[in-house]
Amino acid sequence: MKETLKLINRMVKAGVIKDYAIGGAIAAIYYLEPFDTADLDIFVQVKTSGSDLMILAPIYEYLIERGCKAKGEFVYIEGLPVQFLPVFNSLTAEAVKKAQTIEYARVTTRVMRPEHLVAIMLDTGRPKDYLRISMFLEGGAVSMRSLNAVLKRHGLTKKWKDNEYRFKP
Amino acid sequence: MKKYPDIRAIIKKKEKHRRSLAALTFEKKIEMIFKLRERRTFIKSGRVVSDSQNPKTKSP
Repeated sequence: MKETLKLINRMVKAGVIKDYAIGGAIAAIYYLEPFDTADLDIFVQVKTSGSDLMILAPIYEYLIERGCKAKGEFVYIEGLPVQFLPVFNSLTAEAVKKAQTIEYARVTTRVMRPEHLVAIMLDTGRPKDYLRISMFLEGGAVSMRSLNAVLKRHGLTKKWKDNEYRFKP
Repeated sequence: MKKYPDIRAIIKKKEKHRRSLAALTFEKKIEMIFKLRERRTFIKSGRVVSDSQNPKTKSP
């Protein structure tokens, strides 16, 4: 994963992407115990705006030029399937903006904060998202005060209350 | 009334183990995920050799 992160950092330097943060299961694992997952989700803030997925084209071009293989929705870097997702609402935009900077194998990278991860999982609302929310709550990995503020800012307070019974320890 | 063993101590130990895993470094956790992926590939490579509920075993 080290080379993958180095390559993504180079994309920021080259101006292909403006900013990024690791989201999804790998970001959750930063805060929780490890569990099996298939891919690495990278949420990106790109310079251009648009409503179609063509805004991701420069990322794919950059990576393919450097020998990476694209298959379906993934780009394989170091044999690891990486999915690039443009920020698609105010919640994911804030999650990238406020991500924390960490080091992985001496490579600087950015990981979404637990409160944003939980809010995104709530918004997505698949059974596996609810399961992971309960893992965050059980593990005490999330500040309820910060989470409530995120939920309020993004209109998710009602959805939290309606679904709380699914994940409350 | 049938008595069952009390497994609370086991559950508690499992919880402790989960917390110790959560406290590992990110690098160590990612290493574990890669091992899990290898294991998943290995398990998936297995194929059904018999649909029987009771697979035949060699008699002693």
